[in-house]
Amino acid sequence: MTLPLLTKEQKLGMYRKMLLCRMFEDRVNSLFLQGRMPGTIHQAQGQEACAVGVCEALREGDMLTSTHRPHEHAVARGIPVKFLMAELFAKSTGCCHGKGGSMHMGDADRGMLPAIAIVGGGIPLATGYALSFKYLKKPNIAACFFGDGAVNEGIFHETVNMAAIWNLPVLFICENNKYGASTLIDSVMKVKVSTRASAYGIPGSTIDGNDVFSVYQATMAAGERARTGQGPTLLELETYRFAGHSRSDPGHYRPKEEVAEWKSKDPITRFETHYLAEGLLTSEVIESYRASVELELNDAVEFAESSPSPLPEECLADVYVE
Amino acid sequence: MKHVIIMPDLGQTSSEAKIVSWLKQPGDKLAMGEPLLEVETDKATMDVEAYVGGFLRRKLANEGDMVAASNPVAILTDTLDEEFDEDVKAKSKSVAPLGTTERAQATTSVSVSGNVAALPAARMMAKQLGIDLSTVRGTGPQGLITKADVERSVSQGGKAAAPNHESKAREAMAALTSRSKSTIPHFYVTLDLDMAAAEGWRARWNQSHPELKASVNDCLARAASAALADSPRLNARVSDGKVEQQSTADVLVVVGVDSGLLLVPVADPHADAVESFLERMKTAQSSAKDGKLHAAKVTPLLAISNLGMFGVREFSAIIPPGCNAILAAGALRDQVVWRNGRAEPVSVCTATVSADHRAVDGIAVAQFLERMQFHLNSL
Repeated sequence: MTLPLLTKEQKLGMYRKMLLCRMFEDRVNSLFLQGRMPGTIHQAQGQEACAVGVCEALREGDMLTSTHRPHEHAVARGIPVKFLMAELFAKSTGCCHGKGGSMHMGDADRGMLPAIAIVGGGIPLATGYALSFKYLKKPNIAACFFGDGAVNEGIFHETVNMAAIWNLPVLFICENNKYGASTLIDSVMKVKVSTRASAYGIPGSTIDGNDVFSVYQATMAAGERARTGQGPTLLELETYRFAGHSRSDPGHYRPKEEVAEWKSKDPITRFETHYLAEGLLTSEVIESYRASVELELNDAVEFAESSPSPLPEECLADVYVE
Repeated sequence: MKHVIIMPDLGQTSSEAKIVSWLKQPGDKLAMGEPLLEVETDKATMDVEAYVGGFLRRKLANEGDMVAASNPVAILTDTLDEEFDEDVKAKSKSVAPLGTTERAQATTSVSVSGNVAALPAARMMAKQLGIDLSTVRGTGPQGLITKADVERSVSQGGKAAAPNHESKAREAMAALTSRSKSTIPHFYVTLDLDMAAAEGWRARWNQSHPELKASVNDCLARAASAALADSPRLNARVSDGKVEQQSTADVLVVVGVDSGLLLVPVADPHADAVESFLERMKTAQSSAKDGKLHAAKVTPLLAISNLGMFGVREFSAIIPPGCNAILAAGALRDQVVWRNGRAEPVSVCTATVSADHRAVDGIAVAQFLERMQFHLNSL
């Protein structure tokens, strides 16, 4: 399949999304350090190209599931950051009414199921959505993000196999950031994640997860397959999280040189360097984008901090679907 | 402009961290996100970064200090020489570190079911010994209670005792006994045990084993254990409507030390040869007295307390939490009984069993004492 060339607007749109993801995470970290935001958080700085590249290839009506590291997925999927910020402040205006928090970002009405923190937990749910799309003859697809650690969970095998035999419209997207918490993936796996696909008879490929256009194109191609009834695809996006597994993890298990090497492959810097040279970006454009994102985040924080907390009597609301 | 840097809530099981080292000195310039100090949480050593750039002006804590989450650790200003006030009350709407308030309250109160921070091993040990963790002073990181703390709390003559150790031990006993007496429906069954056969056996044994003598208490513990093995109802743990039959007949021996009482669990005292049983009794009691009590793998349902050495005729004891009953033995006394139409000299020990009526009834206890008499006769 030949993909249509991206327009200038599309490229800049993806750039701003990546900036929004990164600056959202940085702002959350700062709020945490100031003691204004509670709780431990799993941050995704460094993985913006995965979130944005995949979400850009999804359409309205498609469904995304996520992991314990969902902030950037939710931002990229287009859930307004003020609802995400309010959720992190545990406010009733949050995307889960303040009752989900960091690890349950999402909004089914906006195409992303509230994230599931259980490793691999989103994989069968996305596949369930895919089954329903096929059954109801809808033109949509489902996609699930999961980490390299999830690939050795039993649910991964069971679900991918089922999706394969039924040709379900689902994309299995592994964000391989090399570490399952502190466990180096090479120490628990002898093959590349994408090679697992052949065991189920579906296509699998390994993509540079720090290049937003590679991710976008691979997801578009896989999406096209899924939408035309040809079944699922496994995509392995090679990336890296700059921070530790969570705020309480300094990440000492990673060599300093490795962290430095990946920071030099920062997806946002790479985009900027490339397009500054090509002329799409100028330092003024970058500044104006950063300033506008900054304002959007200021508004989000103000919205969140001035929002009411959930009421105790709402505790049991939204537990079951009526 | 002044910026107050706080200790972030970095821990997973606690909300404090120790300052390991300052990475900047007053006057140093920092960029936003640059590490300012290194701290040690309950899990790892990590950096605290500045959430704004600026100049470090004041260090509010020293290396080695424990600082609770949200407390200020440093003051930064935008420029090196600007004036600033020393008020460090966090100006932001600070979030109460989750869980810390309750935890702090629990450790200072003597509530019996409070949410006390303790290591699993310490928790298990406290449960085995019937110790209320809220009465134990934790010396681990962030006041976490360790096994050593529980041991110290039990062995009141402990060597490395904290200054208020004895009062702590008294507090522990007060909490334990009042909890037991106010929640367990005690009832009492008293019987004169005929010790003639047992005393005969003991005299013979001690003559042939001068290096490993048996005491009256040893005889009582061994016979009680054997009787417990014959008394399934007394040797079953009842909780939440479930009956959990014990496969061994373990006994909790109450040992007196200078400053109070120790509860020493002994596994299945009747099950092995007399020699090894006596050795185990001696080791358990002496190491308890030395404050070297090790966590036993058993949680006895029967305790034995003996005041015979003081000439006490009889007494009734309070059931240690976790047990179904406690046997209180008085001194051996020689008396004459009228038996089979004639007067016979006997040596008796008055034993009073305090039992938990939720677990057992009087018949079960009486049958237990009957079996105990049988086993005393056949030591």
